[in-house]
Amino acid sequence: MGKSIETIWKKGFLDSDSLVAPKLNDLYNQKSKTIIDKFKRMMKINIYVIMVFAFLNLGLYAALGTPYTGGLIFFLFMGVCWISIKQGRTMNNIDASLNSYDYLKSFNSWLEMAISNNTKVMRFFYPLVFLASLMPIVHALKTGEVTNATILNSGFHLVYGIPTITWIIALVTAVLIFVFGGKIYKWDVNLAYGRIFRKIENMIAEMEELRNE
Amino acid sequence: MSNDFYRLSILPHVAIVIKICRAYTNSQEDFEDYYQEVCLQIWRSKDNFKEQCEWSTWVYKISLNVCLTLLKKKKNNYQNFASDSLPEEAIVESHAFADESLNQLFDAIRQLSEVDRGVILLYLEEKSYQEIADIIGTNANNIGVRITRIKERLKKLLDGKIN
Repeated sequence: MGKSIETIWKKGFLDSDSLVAPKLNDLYNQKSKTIIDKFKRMMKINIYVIMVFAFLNLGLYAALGTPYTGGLIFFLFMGVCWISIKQGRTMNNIDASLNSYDYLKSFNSWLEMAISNNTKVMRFFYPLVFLASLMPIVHALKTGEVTNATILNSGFHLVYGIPTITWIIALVTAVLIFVFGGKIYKWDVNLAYGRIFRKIENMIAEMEELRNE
Repeated sequence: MSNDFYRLSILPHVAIVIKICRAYTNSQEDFEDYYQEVCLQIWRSKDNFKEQCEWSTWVYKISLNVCLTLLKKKKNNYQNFASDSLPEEAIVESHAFADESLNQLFDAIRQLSEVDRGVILLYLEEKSYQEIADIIGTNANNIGVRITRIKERLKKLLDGKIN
């Protein structure tokens, strides 16, 4: 190499045509591609989907003869939406004028906090939704003449017209979902955002390596 | 964003923004997207500028932060996901500048990691080690060592290409 990179840089930019700014098109409506804005968009979409799902459940469970369960699931899903909206607001506090390291760390801290809070919520959310989703089955078994007679004649110990063993299995499953709820949620989140998380972690690690050299 | 803000606050520093965006993109289309996003972010964050540093330094910070965090979902764009192991064939030959040596230098810079790209751009813009450290978020002593390594890497990448 004959020329130093400094010389190439200086000579290259002597030509004023080298630095022509592209035309800005309708900047207000530009779809933002920053990670933060991408997250905001994804969170918004998720919230809308959950809201629609909550309303659908309300109707579905009413049609299946368990409107109160539908109401419970509706409030559970709406609670998740409310938490997501609150988290979205705190994301706006991240200051883009920080130095690169602090900026990425701030965003990463926010992500960790959001995931940690959601993990706690999801540990209760998953088992409650699971138990609630069993209610239409219980209702159908109890109201169906054939199934109800079969259960009554089965010889099992019954609670609320359903074999106690069934309740125990359902409760044990709910407890297991509670115990593993955090892991299920993290697995789910990692599936959707894992690549972005790893990218951010790699950049932070590289910057930390630079700081510690 | 008003035309006045763009004309008075961004255009005087447009060279910085262009150089950084060029270093983080392989195609004209990506470059324009990144450029727009940087301008948008500068405008959005203008209220956070507290004159603790020069406006140009602040523009550097915003430009680097935006470019570092831009992750594009383009099938043929490997740059954002594996820049360190970017295969040579994935580098789109750039003809962004009239000067061929400068194009080759940018091609070589694009093969560096995201952070190294930021460091070398600031160095080539004659920012002091302390300023680079402030912008990147490290200390000035480490910057000198890192710049030496980056220059060696660039020298290898450019070896035989530029006379």
